[in-house]
Amino acid sequence: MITNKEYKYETAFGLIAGPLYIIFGFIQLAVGLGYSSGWTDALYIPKDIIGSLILVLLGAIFLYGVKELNEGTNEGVSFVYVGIFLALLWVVVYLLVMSASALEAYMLKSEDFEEWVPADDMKPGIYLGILPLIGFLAWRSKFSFRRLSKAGV
Amino acid sequence: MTNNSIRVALAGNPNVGKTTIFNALTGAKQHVGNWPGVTVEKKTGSKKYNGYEIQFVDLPGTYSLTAYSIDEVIARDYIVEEKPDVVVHIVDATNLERNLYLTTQLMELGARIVIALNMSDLAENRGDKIDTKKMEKFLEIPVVKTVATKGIGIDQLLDTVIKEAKKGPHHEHMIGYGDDIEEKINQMENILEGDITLSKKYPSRWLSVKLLEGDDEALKKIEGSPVLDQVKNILSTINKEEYEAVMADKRYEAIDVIVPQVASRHDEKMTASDMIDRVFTHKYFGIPIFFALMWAAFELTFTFSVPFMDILDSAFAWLAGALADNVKPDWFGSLLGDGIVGGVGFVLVFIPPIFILFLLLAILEDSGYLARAAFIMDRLMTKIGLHGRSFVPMLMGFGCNVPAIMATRTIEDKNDRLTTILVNPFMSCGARLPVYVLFAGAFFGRQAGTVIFSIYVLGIVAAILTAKLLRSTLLKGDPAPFIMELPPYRVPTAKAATIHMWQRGSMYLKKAGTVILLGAIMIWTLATFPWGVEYGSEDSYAGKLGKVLEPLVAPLGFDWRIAVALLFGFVAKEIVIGALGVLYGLGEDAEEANISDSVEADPKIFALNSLGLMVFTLLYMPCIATVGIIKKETGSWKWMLFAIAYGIILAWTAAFLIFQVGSGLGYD
Repeated sequence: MITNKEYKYETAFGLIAGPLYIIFGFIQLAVGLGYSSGWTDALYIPKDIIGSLILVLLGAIFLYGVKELNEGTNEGVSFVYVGIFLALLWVVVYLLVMSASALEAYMLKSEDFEEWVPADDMKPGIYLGILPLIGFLAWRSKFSFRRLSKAGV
Repeated sequence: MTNNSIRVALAGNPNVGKTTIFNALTGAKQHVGNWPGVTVEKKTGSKKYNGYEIQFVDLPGTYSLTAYSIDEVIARDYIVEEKPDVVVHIVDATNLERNLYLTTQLMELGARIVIALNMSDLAENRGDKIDTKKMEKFLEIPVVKTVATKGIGIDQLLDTVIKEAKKGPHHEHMIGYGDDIEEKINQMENILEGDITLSKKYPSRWLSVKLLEGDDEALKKIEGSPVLDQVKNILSTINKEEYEAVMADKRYEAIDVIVPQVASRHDEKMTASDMIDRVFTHKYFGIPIFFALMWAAFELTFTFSVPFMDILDSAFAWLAGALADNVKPDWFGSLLGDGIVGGVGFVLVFIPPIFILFLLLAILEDSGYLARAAFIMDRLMTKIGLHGRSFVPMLMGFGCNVPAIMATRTIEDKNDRLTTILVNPFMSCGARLPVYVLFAGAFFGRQAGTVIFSIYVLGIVAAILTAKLLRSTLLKGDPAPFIMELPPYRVPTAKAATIHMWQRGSMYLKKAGTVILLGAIMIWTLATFPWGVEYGSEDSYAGKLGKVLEPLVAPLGFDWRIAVALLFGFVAKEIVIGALGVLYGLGEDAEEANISDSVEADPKIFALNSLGLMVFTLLYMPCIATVGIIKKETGSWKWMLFAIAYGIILAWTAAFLIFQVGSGLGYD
């Protein structure tokens, strides 16, 4: 399964993260379309079709990187690194959404959020983020933005 | 140079940090206007430095000085005709070859040039080494390394500008174009020098080169000259397109000789920009990633702004109630509470989502991503018969359609440009966002962000389908080829993103104090009079007006209040919300002194017709400012009326289908 020796860890990472994101994406899609079960509740799967498509997209990006790396195209590692970046970006987006709900519930005491608990906003897009976080920490030198200049005014 | 006054023009390719250098050089002393006769922005500024008053003009960013775009014509005409003392050419140090092409053309113009080698830190970080001393020697032009974002090299640049300005007029540098072309250039120069006025005004070698390249603008400059016929005789003996191609090749040959001697390049490992582009501009992943990012932006816009909107909403509701109840006489209290706070205040409630959306768009733009968005959409745009360049004004339409329509001036083909202008109002501007936020928030709960995103996508789809329709019927023709440069990715800074957010968002605040205030007072007047009727009731003038309009919107599930709000929304789309705030008399009823609660409590408004209302607001006729700019830019009453009529018909049909089909399927 892993033929690229130079980027064998990145390939392995893509092989784990890709299918995982895709599987959770399809489960979330099924829930979004009406499927419901105890185990989907236990996995905090929300009824969120667009979110499910984003999970599938992230998984596909990881797997495309694996495909290119295994074909000997080293530039395919871009898909693994950028996939990690995008997956973490979505973790940040979801955490910001969660923090807005927390603000409504705990500070503004909004009626709509009377029974809100953080688990209400938990979703695979957040907890699957542990994988890209590990990837980010492992290859953090690749994510150095020092090489990019800062935007001017 | 007169006395101690120096005139400096800043030239350069797009995205080389020219504006950042201009800002660093001039600080707050800036003036923004338009170039004469066109709506291309002209920035000027000044700086006092070491006893000199230096006047700066920021020329439009161009890759060359041909006459293929209005920007190029403006830049070169300014240099040729205004003859600035010094031209500071900002060169991207990470892309010398492409940038030096413009240098060769500036040299031909005879301008006294100073090169600001910008982004030199970026070039050094990736391993490039540029020998500026050698570069100065080969080009005979002073070179100053700058990092504009950090203010590095700015003082040295100013010192060099002053030193060069003191040297006085400059002779043009020459690039050899080979024996055959040089012979024609000599012939042409001899002819042009026969017209003393002409040869005093324009460098004769430059004008000869441009004429031989088949430059129409150059030909216009010699219209009326006694040597015109002789020039035309020479031009009739050559293949101008071939000459233009050969001369461009010769310039690149000169650059190819210079660059290896002055710069040693980094090894060709993939840069961070390359890696990101490999994924973000991928033929399969590019478009889904674009939509995913846009969805994230709208999801964040809605969810993150709700707590702040709730705070403002409660504050304005309290203020409106307090004014309406306590200010005497009653009518004045009602004007302040129901009219002004109810109208303007409840428009201001939507400041958080507007500013958050503009902040996120600024981050995407500053990072360099939006340029990629235009690139990845090019294939799709070409398929529907639009120019790839059209997507940039369309994206700008998310902010405001007026500058977006003005930005279509960069599109050369008339039909491409007209199509882009006519579809631009379907790109949902910030003024329409409050309507979506109000109704999506009231009726779609946790899915509100997704609903708002869908409305924006629907706008894009409507624009695309309309473009396809126009290009295959009224505005037939093949789209012109599209070439664009992808700037390197940059890390967005908080300062830049905040400034860009403020530049767009402050327009909304200004409107609140002017047109929306007037609109709110007008609607309050209609809702209050004739004296003695219940405020905002069907017996008021607003009610009577609404009742006249109601039959037109009843098939869409809208009542008379919405009809009045939509009518006044023609002035400015924010007034739709302001009008609803006034018509629901928010100051009068303490129990429902909140616009979201009021619309939720109204049994005549529910999820299905609120969705129809959002779609109607998206598609129906553009606001008055947009209509005005459509008239101005198309120069045609016919197209302006077409934009209004087409928008209304499309909006009505879409809202009708949503309401009738949805009702038929049992939704409410």
